[in-house]
Amino acid sequence: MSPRPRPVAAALAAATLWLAACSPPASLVARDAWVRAVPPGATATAGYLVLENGSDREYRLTSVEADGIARVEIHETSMQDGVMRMRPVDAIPVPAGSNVALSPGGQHLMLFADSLPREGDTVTLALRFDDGTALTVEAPVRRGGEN
Amino acid sequence: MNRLNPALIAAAAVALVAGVVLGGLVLPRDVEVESATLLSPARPLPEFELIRDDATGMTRADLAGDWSLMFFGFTHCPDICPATLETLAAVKRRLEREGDPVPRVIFTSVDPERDDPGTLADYVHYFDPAFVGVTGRRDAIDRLTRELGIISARVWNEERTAYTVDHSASVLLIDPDARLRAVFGTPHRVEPMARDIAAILEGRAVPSRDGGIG
Repeated sequence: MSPRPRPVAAALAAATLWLAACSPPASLVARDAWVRAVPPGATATAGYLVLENGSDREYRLTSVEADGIARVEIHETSMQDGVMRMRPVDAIPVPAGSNVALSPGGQHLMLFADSLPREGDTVTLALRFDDGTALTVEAPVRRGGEN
Repeated sequence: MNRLNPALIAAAAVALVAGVVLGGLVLPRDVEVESATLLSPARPLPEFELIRDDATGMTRADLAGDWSLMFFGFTHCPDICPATLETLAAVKRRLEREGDPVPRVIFTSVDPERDDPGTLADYVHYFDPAFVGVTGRRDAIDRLTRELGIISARVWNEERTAYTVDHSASVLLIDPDARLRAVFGTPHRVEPMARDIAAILEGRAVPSRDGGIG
C-alpha cells in the first residue's frame, strides 16, 4: 500500500535469510547413539539412538550399516503378558515434528558379527531413510542397565 | 555439681526426644513392596536336575540355605537379557553398598541347544563374577519353567536360518527353603528392586495396598 513498510519487509527478509544461514534446517538428526557391550563370544548385540525429525514430513529409517558389522537389522521388542518378543521390522517411522527413541526393551538395531566391538570402541552407524537421506552417527560401545 | 543439674536434665530431655525421633526413622519398619508380587504362602519349587556353568549338577537342594534371584533367557538375546543382567548386577552392587543381605543371581537358559555350560559361564560372569549360569536337558528346563509360570517359545526367521526365543522376562525371588516368594515383573528398575529385595530378605515386606498378593 504505502512505501513505508518496505524497509521493514526488507529487514525481515534479511533477518530471515541471516537466521537460515546461521542455523541450517536440521530437519532430521540422529543423536545419543550407543551400542551395548556384550560378553566375548557373543555374535549379536543391540544399538540404540534417538531420531529427531524437525521437518514437516515423515521419515522412515529403512536400513543401517556399520563398519565391521556383517549385518544390521531393525528390531522391535514388545512385552505381551510378561513375555518378551523380538521381531524384525521393515522400517521405523519418524513422524513429522517428533522424536523417536530406539531404546532397551523397545525398538532397537540388532548388530550381527562373528567378532563384535568391545567396550570403549566406537561404531559408526550409517543410517538410510526411505527418501534416500543418509545420516551417520557415532555410537560408543558401553554397558547399559535398566530396561 | 548441683548447679549443672538443670542443664543436664535439659540435655537428657533433648537426647530422649531426639532418640525417639531418630529411632522412628532408623529402626526397621514395614516396607510396601511396589516392584514385585509377593506370594503368600510361598510356593515350593518342584524337584529338578539341571547343570551349572561349571558343568556340575544343580538341584532343588542347592537352592536351600540362601535367597536366590532367578532370571530366564538365552545368550543369543541381544536386548532384554543383557539389560536385565546389568540391572541385576547393579541391584547386587547397591545391596552390597548398603550392607543389606544379597541374594545369589541365577541365569537359567531357555535355549539349552545353544547354551552349553562353558558358553553360559563366559556370558554370566561378564555381568558379575558371582552370577551362576544354569542349563540342562530341554525336558528338565521345560518342566521347571512350566511349574514357575515361565513361558518360552522358539521363533524362526522367515528364511529359517536363525531363531530367537520369546520368553517371560520376570525375575523370581526364591527363599532359603527353595520356595517362590516374589515375582518381579517388567520393567526392572534398580532402586525399587533393591529396596524391595532388602525388605523381603529382612522380613519387613508387606504387599502394596493396590493388590500385591499373587
